[in-house]
Amino acid sequence: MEILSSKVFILKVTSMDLKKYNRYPIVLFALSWLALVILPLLVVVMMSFLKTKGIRIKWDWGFYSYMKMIQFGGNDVVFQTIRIGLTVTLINFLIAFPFAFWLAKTLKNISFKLIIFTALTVPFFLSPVSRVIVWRSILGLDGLLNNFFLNIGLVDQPIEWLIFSEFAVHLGLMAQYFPSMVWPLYLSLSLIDDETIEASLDLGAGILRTTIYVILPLALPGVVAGVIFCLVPMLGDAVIPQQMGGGNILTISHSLSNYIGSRSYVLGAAIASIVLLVLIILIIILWFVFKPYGGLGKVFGQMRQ
Amino acid sequence: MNQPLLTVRNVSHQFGNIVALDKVSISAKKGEFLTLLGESGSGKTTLLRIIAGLETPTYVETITLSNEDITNHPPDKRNCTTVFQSYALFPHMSVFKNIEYGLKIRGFNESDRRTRVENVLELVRLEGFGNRKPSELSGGQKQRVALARAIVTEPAILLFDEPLGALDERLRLDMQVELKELHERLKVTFIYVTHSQEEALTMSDRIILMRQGKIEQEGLPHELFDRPKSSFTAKFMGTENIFEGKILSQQGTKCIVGINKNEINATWHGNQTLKPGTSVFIAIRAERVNLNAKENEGNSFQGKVSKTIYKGKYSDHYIQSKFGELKSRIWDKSTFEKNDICFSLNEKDVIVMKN
Amino acid sequence: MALLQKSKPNFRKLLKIAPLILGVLALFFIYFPIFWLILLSFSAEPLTGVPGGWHFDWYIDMVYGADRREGEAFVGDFQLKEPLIKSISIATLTSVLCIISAVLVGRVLPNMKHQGLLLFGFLVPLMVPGIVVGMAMFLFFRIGLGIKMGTWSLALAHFVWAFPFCLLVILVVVSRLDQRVLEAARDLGASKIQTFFQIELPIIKPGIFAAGFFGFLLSFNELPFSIFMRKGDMTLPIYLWIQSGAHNSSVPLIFALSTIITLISMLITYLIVRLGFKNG
Repeated sequence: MEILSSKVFILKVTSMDLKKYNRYPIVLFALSWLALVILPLLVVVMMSFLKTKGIRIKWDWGFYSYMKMIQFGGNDVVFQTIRIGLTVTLINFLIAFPFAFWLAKTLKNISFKLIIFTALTVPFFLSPVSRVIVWRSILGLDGLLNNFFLNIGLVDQPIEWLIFSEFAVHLGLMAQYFPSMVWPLYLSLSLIDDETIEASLDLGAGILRTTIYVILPLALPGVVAGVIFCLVPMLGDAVIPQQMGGGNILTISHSLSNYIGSRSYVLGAAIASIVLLVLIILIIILWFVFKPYGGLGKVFGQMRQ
Repeated sequence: MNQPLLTVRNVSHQFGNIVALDKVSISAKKGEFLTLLGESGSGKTTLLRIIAGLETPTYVETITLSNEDITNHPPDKRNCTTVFQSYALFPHMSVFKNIEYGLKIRGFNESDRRTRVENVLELVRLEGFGNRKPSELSGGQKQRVALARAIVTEPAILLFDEPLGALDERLRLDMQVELKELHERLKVTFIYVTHSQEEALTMSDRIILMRQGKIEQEGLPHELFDRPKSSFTAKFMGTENIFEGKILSQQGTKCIVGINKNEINATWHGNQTLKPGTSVFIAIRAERVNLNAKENEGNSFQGKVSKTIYKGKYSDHYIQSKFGELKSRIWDKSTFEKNDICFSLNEKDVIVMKN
Repeated sequence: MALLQKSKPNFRKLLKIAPLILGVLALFFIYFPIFWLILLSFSAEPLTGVPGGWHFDWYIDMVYGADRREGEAFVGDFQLKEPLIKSISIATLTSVLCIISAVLVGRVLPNMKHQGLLLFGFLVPLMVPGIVVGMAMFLFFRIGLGIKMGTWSLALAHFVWAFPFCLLVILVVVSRLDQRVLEAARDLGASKIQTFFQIELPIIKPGIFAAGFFGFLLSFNELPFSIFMRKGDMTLPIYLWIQSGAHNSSVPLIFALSTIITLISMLITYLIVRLGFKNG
């Protein structure tokens, strides 16, 4: 009797695959997520190809909404937003890349690293309004900078273009989305083996060549991810262009709220679809870039930091 | 023109509060196989990296290579390449591209590069592997690509940072032979770091044994093996029997050492005179203990075999004697019916060391 | 006699510091406004952008209402209580939901087949602008399915926004957990449930707390989603958003409120990051 029951026990222990968690909850969740998040996005894209008559939707496929959007000058807004987005993303990249490298490879002091990590994490949790309302009082005609410049005699009149201008919007966006660029870069740079970089130096390549031929290619996934997390949300940013651009700088978020506000849903769908298109293009690029590394899954397995 | 190819004068290095190197000076001759031997923390790897330029020493007088002062040169400007312990192959490049990297930097044109890479691939016996990616290679193959990559640029010195550490034993032994053959073929100076004294003995022309940032002993392999100057060296090189005693008399190389009221005839290789009464150590290799001694031979003693451990190729016998436990290593199948034996030691095999 | 040699020329030293300077500069643009905000919240004339005349008036006004001070022209319609309560309750709900689902998903994800794709899907809210997802969900539910918006939709939107962050945090903590510890527990006789509650949960507790706080903060401060997914519901960020658009006198009070929110958020984040670092 005893031998039998212990045999059964052993059978039970060996036959249970400890790694097989109960699949159902996560599958259920994934499906709900799909329905709640992904599906609406797909619906939006689909909607952008439909026609409206008033507020009713006609099942008529075509590029009507896009053409209407062009009529309203929507395409100018889109181009402007993309232009601003690309500029800011580029600036952010140029600053973030060396910074992330320094953070990943050169900085050894842990407390300092902690402080910087915190500094790079906090902006995600701050209220958008808190961040931006102060800029007015710094950059405004009556604000800190202008007062300072007037006092030291740099200018005779307050500088107008500091606030409610493209400059201000660029500045605000750059600051806001800087951490989003740093984090993916930091992660992918820290995955590069120190000795790989040393080997390049050892073989005679200077810093520039090492960066171009060795570091950048190996950090490419992080670069593309950084662009995705930085550029795409920036395209739809609602707070900064409005707060720092006043009414002067029109971006996609303006148009979106206008369209939805005036119940021209398909127009809204159209403009949103354009943003999604940018995202999809970047994702395809990302997919290609990730291929030599065995795909996304493996990379996350390596993230043990 | 027997000027050393490389000289490092008075280098010291600290990591925070830890002293890694303490005023070390070494030199390497053209074409020699020099090994830096030691345990972890001895400073051997640090020294290698300083030579490569990958580490900036806290203090150094000069480093010269081929009569050029390279003390302030960054690693890319020094005419030496490193074979890393982790291979450090570029994961995003094929084997071919990895190897030709150094040539590209140096401005060789495409057909030159192709020829050289293919030649070196043949040299390391990896012909046809050019298109493979590092992720597709085994450990031994990666090792050889790392080697090829370092060799193809024809540096003045090849630096090896424990390259065989990650390989399993069989492969390691084979690679040791291959590396030695490669060295003879290329006639390039090799500076090799390892913690294995067997590896050092197999391959080196000269060994520098390091300990806690200083040079413990430097010399030809057999000098470290047969004539250790300190018990540290003796132990490191695998000498099992080390005893403490006092000098009774010394004349040139011949010595008489007293341990526990026994007298042993020993050999002293140092230059100094040892006064009677000086504390010394003696070292006797386990292989050199003669267990079939006759009673009245010189340097013969009584003892009792307390334990025998069979190890296949050889057996270790532990003998209790008047100066302590002695280990004897025998390569034949002889066993001992009686426990009491008489053993002897050739006085040339009993080495006197000062510490 | 022998000289101490600086083996690297000054140019290389400069190269080492440059990235830090750049990064600090960029961070400066983020934090200077915050710092300024804090200063202004204690100042007499915040709208001029010049600090000075330190006092706590704005903070007092915030709590007691502006009418308390007579003779002043400050009459703002600053009804804080309602949006505040709403924000706190939604944030709490979001936080709890996020913890549960993040743990659920995070434990299993590394072992799943298409983990890359799944993870990617879960991170979508980080990649798509808030208003786009908000609008998409709004169109989907309100126009497409005809379901009216309400508090539920707001909570849902917040959940969708916060979930990716919480998932990432949990993933980091779970990946550090050595599976063999769990195997040992099973080997000693613990059931799956026991193992989970007695062994696994305590080990990933710091991650759970972090995820909870992050979820709370993210929901509390969320704006773009909320604009779409509500029906007249007023969360604090929305309230502030509207108030700040209006050039009236409640603006200084906004400074005070925003300062408090910001400082608390920063403190919590610092503690969490430190916790995360100490544990691995």
